[in-house]
Amino acid sequence: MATTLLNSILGFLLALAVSGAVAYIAYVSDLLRGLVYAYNTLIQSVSVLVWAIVAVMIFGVTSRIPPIIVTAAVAHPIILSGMLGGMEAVEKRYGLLVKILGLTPTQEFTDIIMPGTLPHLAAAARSAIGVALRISVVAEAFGASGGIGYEIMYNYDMGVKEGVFAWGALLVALMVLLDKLALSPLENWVRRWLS
Amino acid sequence: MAVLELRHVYKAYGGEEVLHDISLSLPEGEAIGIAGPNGCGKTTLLKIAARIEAPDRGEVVLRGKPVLVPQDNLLLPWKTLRDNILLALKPYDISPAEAEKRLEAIARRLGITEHLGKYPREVSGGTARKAALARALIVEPDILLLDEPYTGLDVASVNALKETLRSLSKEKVSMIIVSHQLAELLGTVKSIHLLSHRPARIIKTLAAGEGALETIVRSLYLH
Repeated sequence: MATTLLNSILGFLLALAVSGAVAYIAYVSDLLRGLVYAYNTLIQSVSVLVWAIVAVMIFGVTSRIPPIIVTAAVAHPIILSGMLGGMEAVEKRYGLLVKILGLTPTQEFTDIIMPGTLPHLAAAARSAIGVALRISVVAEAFGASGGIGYEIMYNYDMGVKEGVFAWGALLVALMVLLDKLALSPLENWVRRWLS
Repeated sequence: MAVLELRHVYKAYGGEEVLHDISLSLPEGEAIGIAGPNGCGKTTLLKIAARIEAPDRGEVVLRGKPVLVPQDNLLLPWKTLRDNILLALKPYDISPAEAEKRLEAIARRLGITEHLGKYPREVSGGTARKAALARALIVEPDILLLDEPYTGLDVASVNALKETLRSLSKEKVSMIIVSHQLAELLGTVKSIHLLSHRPARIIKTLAAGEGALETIVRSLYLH
């Protein structure tokens, strides 16, 4: 269980970092923003199965990396879409203020765009980490030597139905606990100024 | 001497003319008003005066620093009033001590010192409007451009704001106030330019004396 959780969190953090960098590129110029939107559409179109098989082919069946890569690849467009949508909303709402105050692009990004995008990002992140957890299990089933996905596949191969159901139930419990104890409070905290 | 002059200003959006041959001047230390029907282009006029937007034709002559106070305050909900006000100083090279000194003086003057630590959602509309005004004043502008400053405020807040604007005017801060609340406007400015429906033209300029309200109403709504 700890392996699956760790894979999901690492994949999520990787997706968050890459999404932040890509969103900044979109913020820098309108031309690049167009490219980022096209890129987002493209990566959303790639199947989880393709990510999983390619990652296993590259890193090997026993590597820990494929579940992390696959999780990141699936969470990334969800987070990026949240960031881009948030950026657009914030720019539309506070564009006049930026002009009135004469803020530099860096000041605009740090004082307005980033904090203004956080509530949108929190909602996207909550959704993304849920997806990450589910996808991480699929990736573990393909490769890896540990984690809930691996255990489900192992029990399936051994013909132990109870084991499959038990590990499946554990995954559901893990997701519910994670949402109620961490993600939902985090989203509420970030959105507190909108209430 | 005029601190702001608009000379034969024209502006159109998407082929639709919004401002047509607008000329006006703002004498130093005076407050003038602009009134007109909703959507006639009053806000566009202020944005052009603040050099936030450029006119299609015509000229804007500024002899001082203008600051626009927008209608809906545009206070950032994730910052306290203190941080919202101080944000205006970010583009300037001003020491933290000087910034704090200015903040304290302006907050005391506007009566919002006790609210500085609060978020915009935690204060009344009147206090939020004063915070937006403080954010404009902290950069020590020569010209204040106020867009519908009385909208959405209760009577007490309107009176307090009118008093603040009158005292600023006495201190030689030049102001253009756009408002459709004519009685409040007349109590604050020396003269009023009346704009027509789109494309906005100046149809009348009159002193804010006795009988002005009746003249304005007749010019705007009964012709």
